[in-house]
Amino acid sequence: MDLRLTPEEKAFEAELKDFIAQNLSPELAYAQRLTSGVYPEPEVFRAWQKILNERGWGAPTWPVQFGGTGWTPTQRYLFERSCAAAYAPFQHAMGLRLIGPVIMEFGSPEQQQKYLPRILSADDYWCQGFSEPSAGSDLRGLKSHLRRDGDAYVLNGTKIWTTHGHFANLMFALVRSEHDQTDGKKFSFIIVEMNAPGVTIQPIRTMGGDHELNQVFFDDVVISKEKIIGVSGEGWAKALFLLKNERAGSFYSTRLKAWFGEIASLAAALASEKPEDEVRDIRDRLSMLELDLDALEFLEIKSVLPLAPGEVMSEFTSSIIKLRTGKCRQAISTLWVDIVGADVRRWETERPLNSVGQGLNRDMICLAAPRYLNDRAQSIFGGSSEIQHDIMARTLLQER
Amino acid sequence: MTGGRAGRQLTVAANRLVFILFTATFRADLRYLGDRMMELSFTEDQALLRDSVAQAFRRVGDGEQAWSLFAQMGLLGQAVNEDLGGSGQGVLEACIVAEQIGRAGIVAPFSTNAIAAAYLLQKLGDEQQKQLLEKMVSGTLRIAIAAPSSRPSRQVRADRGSNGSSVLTGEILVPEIDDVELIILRASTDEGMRAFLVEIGDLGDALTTYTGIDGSTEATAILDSVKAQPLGASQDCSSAFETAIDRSNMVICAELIGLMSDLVDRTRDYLKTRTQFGQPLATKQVLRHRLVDMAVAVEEAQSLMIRAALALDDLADIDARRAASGAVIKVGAAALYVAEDAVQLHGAMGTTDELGIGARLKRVIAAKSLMGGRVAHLKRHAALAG
Repeated sequence: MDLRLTPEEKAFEAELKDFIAQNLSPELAYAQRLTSGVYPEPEVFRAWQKILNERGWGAPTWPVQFGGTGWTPTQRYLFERSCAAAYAPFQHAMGLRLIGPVIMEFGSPEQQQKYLPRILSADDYWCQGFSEPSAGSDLRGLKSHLRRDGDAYVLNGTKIWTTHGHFANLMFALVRSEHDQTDGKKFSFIIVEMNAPGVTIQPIRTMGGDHELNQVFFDDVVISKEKIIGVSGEGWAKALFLLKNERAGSFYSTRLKAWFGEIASLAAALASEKPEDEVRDIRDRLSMLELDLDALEFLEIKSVLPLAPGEVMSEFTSSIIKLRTGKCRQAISTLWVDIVGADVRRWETERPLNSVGQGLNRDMICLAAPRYLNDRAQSIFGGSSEIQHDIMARTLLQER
Repeated sequence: MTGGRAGRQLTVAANRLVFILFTATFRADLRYLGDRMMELSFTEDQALLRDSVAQAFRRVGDGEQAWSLFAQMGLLGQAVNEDLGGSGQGVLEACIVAEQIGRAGIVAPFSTNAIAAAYLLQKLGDEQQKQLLEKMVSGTLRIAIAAPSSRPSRQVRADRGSNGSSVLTGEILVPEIDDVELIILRASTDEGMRAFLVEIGDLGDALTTYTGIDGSTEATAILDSVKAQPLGASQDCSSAFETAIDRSNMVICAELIGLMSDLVDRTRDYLKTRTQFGQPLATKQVLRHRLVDMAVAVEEAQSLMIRAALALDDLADIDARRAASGAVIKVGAAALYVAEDAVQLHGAMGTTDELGIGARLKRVIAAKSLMGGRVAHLKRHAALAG
């Protein structure tokens, strides 16, 4: 194993940085930098996605035939690292990482032609419909269901914790459809138009002060046959495929390292106002945190780099990265709050925070508490830490 | 008295367990990781090296037997250049071997002798001194490294003796001194820090040996005009020692990672076989999750160790010194955590001498302190921040 970059890779990285420097506006970078939730505002993402797409870099993880870049894993890592360091808006995962691959794998040619280009161009904005009030970690407990009605279907039920559901025009959802298959295959993977009659969206305010989450209600929503991905009644396999794909080829540690740099700079800027032993304590905690990030980055590199195109990492690896990513992100914002000190009590109610804007240090102080509170969800969504432990325990105890 | 009966039952249970663990080690390469992530990081040669030493070490009994096996397999010359009788391999290869040393539970002075002493002789020694390496590689000569005294006033000083040779005064601590003939140490001189070779025979009564917590032998010595030979030409040895210690520390880290993986495997096997409340312990979620946390700690520690080893081999674009200190901090903490939890999850059995979990915990304590204090490494890590 050799972690050094080749001259070609260095040249490639220089090209990326040059492109980002010329195309990423300070306003977009600033908006990403002050994002207190999981994703930046849709217009921030959309503006950057259009720039990337025009350059042919809209979907680095996709196969070339669908508009991917054909980059090596190292090139993708360098792309993520360069984007993260410059605070390029985070590419919305719902379309690119979650539903995109499902449509490529299971969708009809018509669905592929209809949806994939609009994911690349960010003309569509997707949200995810998996969790329900009765189905969190145990997804099989979901109750939303399809009823056949002539040539089409009718959807009733509700989805919850729908991130950016109030911005999305499309939802992919896993729902019950007992009528189509009798041999235990009871779920269908469907597409819902968010502005269709019978769809109601209710906001869920979270403790961080942001409106990211929603509950979505379906009352006799008509779902045409073309909105079913693959065979009706065989949706479970698609959901598993999606979950497995979720983290394939992601280098999230690059984002975490950028935030780490942010709080390290903030700590340095505020050091003169703090007693010496507190400065030392923060210095040691920064070191420990940076080591956690180094370990995570190495885990990502060594598990992604050897993957062949289309290959995904094992469940164990994927779980350990998910687990550590959430923990590290939480550890950053926990330390962030401690660095900020007494100023953490100044609560900013305005969102997004980039609409406030008071100079970098004040912005970073202002961001600490909302980020800390929102980051609590990092170990809950997308399979809680406890579920990740269950998955890893099964591998570890050789139960499959 | 019930104590006697309970004691006997404990021994019977322990014997049964030892048998289970014994058979477990022969289920070839039952690594705790389902997908064997490390496979991906190693070249074919490195994987071959790992597999061959793993197999050979399974048969090893005590440290003495291990040393001759190391010599036979050419492992003592790993870090020595080919023209001096070694195989000229990198730190990563030494770490691959050390990981299996730890996995097999062997306690041997591999890091101080085959890594640090070999590096210093090669880096600083003159032509004649470098010839000592040949004997080291063959396993017939052992060289220890003295740690400086923790008290500044007792630091070793070198002066010119009556016949123009060097004489040393001060206090030293020598870990892993079993069968050692030569000691390499640092001493201050009028021209700065210099390295010296001391023959063990020249120390005479000044040497006080004692048994270490991990079964190795250590010694302290108060030097009063002890004869010494300067190592190589006149040059400052500080940076050579710094690198030698970083290399040796990474090899100790690798040993601890092997030791931890072994403990995870043992704990897994115990949870699967031990029945309480009518069910194997492995059915209890609390215990399953704790086992996962142990394995996660090993994975993270291993990542930092390999990263630092690559940096020391100039195979990564990062500061090797910083990476090495970072690995020491995290690997040391992880090893203590994993060993403590291995004891806990084995219940009362974990506290017995018979089972050998305690022997690993003792080695962790020794290895951690050999690598240097956490505070010093944290300080160095912060000071070297880019």
